[in-house]
Amino acid sequence: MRNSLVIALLRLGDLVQSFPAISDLSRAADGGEVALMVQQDLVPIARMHPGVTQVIPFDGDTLLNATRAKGEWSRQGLTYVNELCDLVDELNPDLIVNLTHTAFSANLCSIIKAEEVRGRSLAKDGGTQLNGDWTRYFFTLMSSRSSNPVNLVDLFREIAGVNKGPYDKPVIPPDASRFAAQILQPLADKPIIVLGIGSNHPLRSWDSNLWRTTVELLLNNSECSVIVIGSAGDREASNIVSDGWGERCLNICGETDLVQLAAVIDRCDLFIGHDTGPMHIAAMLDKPCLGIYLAMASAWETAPYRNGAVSIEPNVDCHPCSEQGDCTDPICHQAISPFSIADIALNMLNGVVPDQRDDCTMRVSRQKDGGRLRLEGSIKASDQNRLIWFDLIDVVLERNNRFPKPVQCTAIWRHELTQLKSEVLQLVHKMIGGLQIPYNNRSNDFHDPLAVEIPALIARYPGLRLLFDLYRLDTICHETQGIEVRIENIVKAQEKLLRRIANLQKISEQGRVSMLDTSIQTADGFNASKSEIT
Amino acid sequence: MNYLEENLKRIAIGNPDIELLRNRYRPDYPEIKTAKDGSPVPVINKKSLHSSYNPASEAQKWVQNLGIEFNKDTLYVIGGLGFTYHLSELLKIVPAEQLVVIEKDTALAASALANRPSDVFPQGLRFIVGQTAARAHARLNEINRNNHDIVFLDHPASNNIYPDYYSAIKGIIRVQKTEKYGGYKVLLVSPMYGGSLPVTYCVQRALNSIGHRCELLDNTSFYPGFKHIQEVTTHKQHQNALNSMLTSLLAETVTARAVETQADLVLVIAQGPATAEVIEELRKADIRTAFWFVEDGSTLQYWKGIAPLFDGFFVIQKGEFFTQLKDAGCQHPYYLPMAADPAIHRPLELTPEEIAEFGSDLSHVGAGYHNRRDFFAGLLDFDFKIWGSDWEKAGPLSHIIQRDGERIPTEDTIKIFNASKINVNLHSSTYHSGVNPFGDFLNPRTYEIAACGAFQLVDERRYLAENFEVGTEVVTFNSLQDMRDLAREYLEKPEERAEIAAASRQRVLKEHTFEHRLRELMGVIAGRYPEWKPKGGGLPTAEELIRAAGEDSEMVAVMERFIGKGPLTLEDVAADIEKGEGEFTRTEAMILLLNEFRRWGLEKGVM
Repeated sequence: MRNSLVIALLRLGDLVQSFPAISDLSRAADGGEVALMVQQDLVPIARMHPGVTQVIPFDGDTLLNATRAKGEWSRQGLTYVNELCDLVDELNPDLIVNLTHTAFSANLCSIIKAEEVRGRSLAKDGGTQLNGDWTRYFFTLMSSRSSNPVNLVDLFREIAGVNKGPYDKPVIPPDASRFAAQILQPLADKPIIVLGIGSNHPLRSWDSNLWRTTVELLLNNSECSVIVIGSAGDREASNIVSDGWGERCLNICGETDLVQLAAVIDRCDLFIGHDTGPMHIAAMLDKPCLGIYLAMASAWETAPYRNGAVSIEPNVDCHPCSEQGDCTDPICHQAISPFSIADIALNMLNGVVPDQRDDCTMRVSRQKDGGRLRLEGSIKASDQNRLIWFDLIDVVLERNNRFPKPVQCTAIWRHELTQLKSEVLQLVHKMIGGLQIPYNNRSNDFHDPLAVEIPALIARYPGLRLLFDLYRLDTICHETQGIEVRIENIVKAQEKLLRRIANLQKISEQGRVSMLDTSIQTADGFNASKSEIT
Repeated sequence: MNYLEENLKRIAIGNPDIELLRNRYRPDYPEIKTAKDGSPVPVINKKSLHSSYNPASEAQKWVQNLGIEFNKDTLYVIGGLGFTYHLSELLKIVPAEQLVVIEKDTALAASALANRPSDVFPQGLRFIVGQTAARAHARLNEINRNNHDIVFLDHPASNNIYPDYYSAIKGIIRVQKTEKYGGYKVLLVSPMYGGSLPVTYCVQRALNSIGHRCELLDNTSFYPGFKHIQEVTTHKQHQNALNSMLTSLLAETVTARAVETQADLVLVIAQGPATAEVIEELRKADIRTAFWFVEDGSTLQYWKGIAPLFDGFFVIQKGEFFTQLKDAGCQHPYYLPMAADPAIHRPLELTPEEIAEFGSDLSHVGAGYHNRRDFFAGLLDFDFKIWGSDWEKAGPLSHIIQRDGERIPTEDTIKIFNASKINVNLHSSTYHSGVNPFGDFLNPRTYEIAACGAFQLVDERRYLAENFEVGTEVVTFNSLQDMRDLAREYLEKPEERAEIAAASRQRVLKEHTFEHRLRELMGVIAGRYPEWKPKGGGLPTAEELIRAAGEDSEMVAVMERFIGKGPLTLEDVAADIEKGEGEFTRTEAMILLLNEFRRWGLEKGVM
């Protein structure tokens, strides 16, 4: 029996994405308590997790008021923190899992006494202490997000550090369920699609008129009903989407609390929306999800954590854009067509796996045997880095059982990268050899010399797939282009890939593996800035 | 019946201002009407100072509404004498010794003494009459030697006639109360260069010294950039555009810093950066704004765009300039003359070598303005030294220009003031020869020479007499001949020079230091904005926290280091804990957590 405290002072979406990690911890607690500390306004959501035995509210407003230099820090502030810590002390946790990246959450871990802390905590000298390799990974993401192939749910699960297993569905309280039944009564017996049109940033929210066209297509091409959800702040936009469709389109923006919203989502057949809390609630409730990832949102990081969920990204070179949110010309919005969204949605509603499309990048979430979530489907050029890392993380983990210390890590990365480089070179050599057998010389039983090797290699390094796709196009399709052009294309792709590998090598030679920034002090006191990297 | 003489005699003791009133009595002012109950009631600008039915019963209600719980450790101050009905009523519950009456209008006060019988002026009652707000407050401090708590009681009808005056005094009293507890946080914005820069540093020292927390936003580092712009192009339009961008950039740093430091007031000194957008942003962030325009408003015109935007616009000129300011939309300009910092400008014991180097019969430290060049050419037969820059090197003055016309560092300026028998202080003018007949404001030098306890002959200025007593504290000239005569006369009278110089220094120390000015400036803002309170107000001191901690020995251990350090902010305490060694106690860890949370809030912009 082991008591755990999970500190998850996160926003709605991230909190919901921490649910599988909490299920893992709950299983490992072996009958012990699992307490979850969340922001005050998310307490009802936290209570929906069946594995949580106690929810501890964190009242950020009180603390903010107390620290606004009114002298209240010494009275209200310290009193509040004292009470909070007393509450946790009563729990007497053996383990604290801190899923919050803020410095003050690390301070909190240093006040509460527990045998073990996972996630960020405070070193004895007051510096930052990152416990565990995955915590370190988590903290280096800021500088290398475009390379990260690990879904946030998996990251939380890795940081929690217990065996993964089946995770719990949130439990909808009966009164919220009754509320949803009542609201949805007029739409009975018809498939229901919920549209989450809001998000936490205007750049991430698809244009209301495009949503409206989508609704029009959905209603005209099926018998479904549509419910538009969102906060009170989304009302104006939602009216544009919902006005004029009569009973088949219900707008409940701002009319529900979060739990009631979850109850409504629980009764739908498909959720379409942005990378937001409601979408992750839908995924956790095991609802088919169709996510639209615009601007800074990337499916690699936050695709719905459910087998078969579909993520759509625009086919524009600048996506995903920087976290600054300063884009003045969001071309990604127009790059996704309502026709595609409606078509994919109607296929999903009918239980059909939708076809890939040319106008956008469509990927399907897949998670096998407790492994990490993987995205299948089309691959964009910008995915190369992520794919290479996805493979390397697996290779390294497979060989070492865990992340090695950074110094060893660097050596291993370097070895892997050299290996990868030589395999790419060999592969290209063979590809070019294969291409040089002219089409007209190929007999009917022509056997591609790479037919076996390539799938095996790609199984290890899916990052090579772009290269392979080019080759396949050239060998299988009877293109009119000359052999030189085709070879040139492959060599170009090879160069690109090698450049990327060379970059990674360079980083590792500088002693900084981008995904494991060694300048951060680790749990065991290792400080890479003082390490002997040769 | 006229009670003036009788009353003057009765209350003369302990009230130095009262003697002035003898000459201020005017039978025709204020107009006196008779109330329904027969009492005399003064009327000024058609506003009656008491009820026209029954002044005594109105006064009773006034006292009732004040709801005073009499405290023997409190000094009660009434803003406005009127014809004393309210005073009489208050005297029923507060002894005369604990009461001070402040009245701005000397003629009204004289009329009250003339028209009201002597029994309404008990002995021991103190009056402050006809003083500026700052001087009234200084007098109040002299009276309040026992540091009693001061309670200001508004006489609404008097306040109605001189609202700015009473609100300033009220504000100064309020601000002074905060000074003991860390005062207000002031972000002081300096210019990039120029004559108002030394003033900025004096303001910083003064604010900190009277108990506020002043942080300097020093813009001098941008001066090379500014110079660069002037050299990049000679095209005026481009230059203006670039200068305006630089101003916007600097102004934006003001908002950034003010919000970050949770400033209560942003005070910009002349030539410092200010834009309408930034002032608006500061207003939204609940930060008051003030500008001290220590310049000649008729020479420099940039005040027009910014004066109306500030919560307080402080100037060194009155009269015509006030009218212009009001026309430009600045409703409440406030006259705040220059001052001296006695920590810098002070009497010095000089060595014989220094006297030889810096001394002369006559001297002048300053730049070579047109009027000075003309005027000083008429003093060449004296032992005369000129110090400072921008003098014609080839002209008739060339042989008396010291150090080849270099700028003189402040420390040497002070030695010159001290070593010279007569400091010639001719205010600059670009348009006149010699003495500017329209000169009004006083330059910093007037106060600085006086603060050094040095003797000066100064040209006649409109506001001189209200700052110094002419003849006993400073001596003035109005022409070259006048100046020559006075120089000859005073060179012969070293003792009189010393006496006058000492008196002028005393006057500066009593009334014209930067501390006096800044106290007044803060008071004016506080008076205008009664809701304006220090954001850091109520900060705890270590002593209070130790008291409150009781048995909590950890808190006592943390706080012991801060005893005697005044109000403590969370940042101060956290920074100190972070510097320490060893493992954190629970209390220390909690304080660090709170501080991290505060930082997080700032970063997220939710503070």
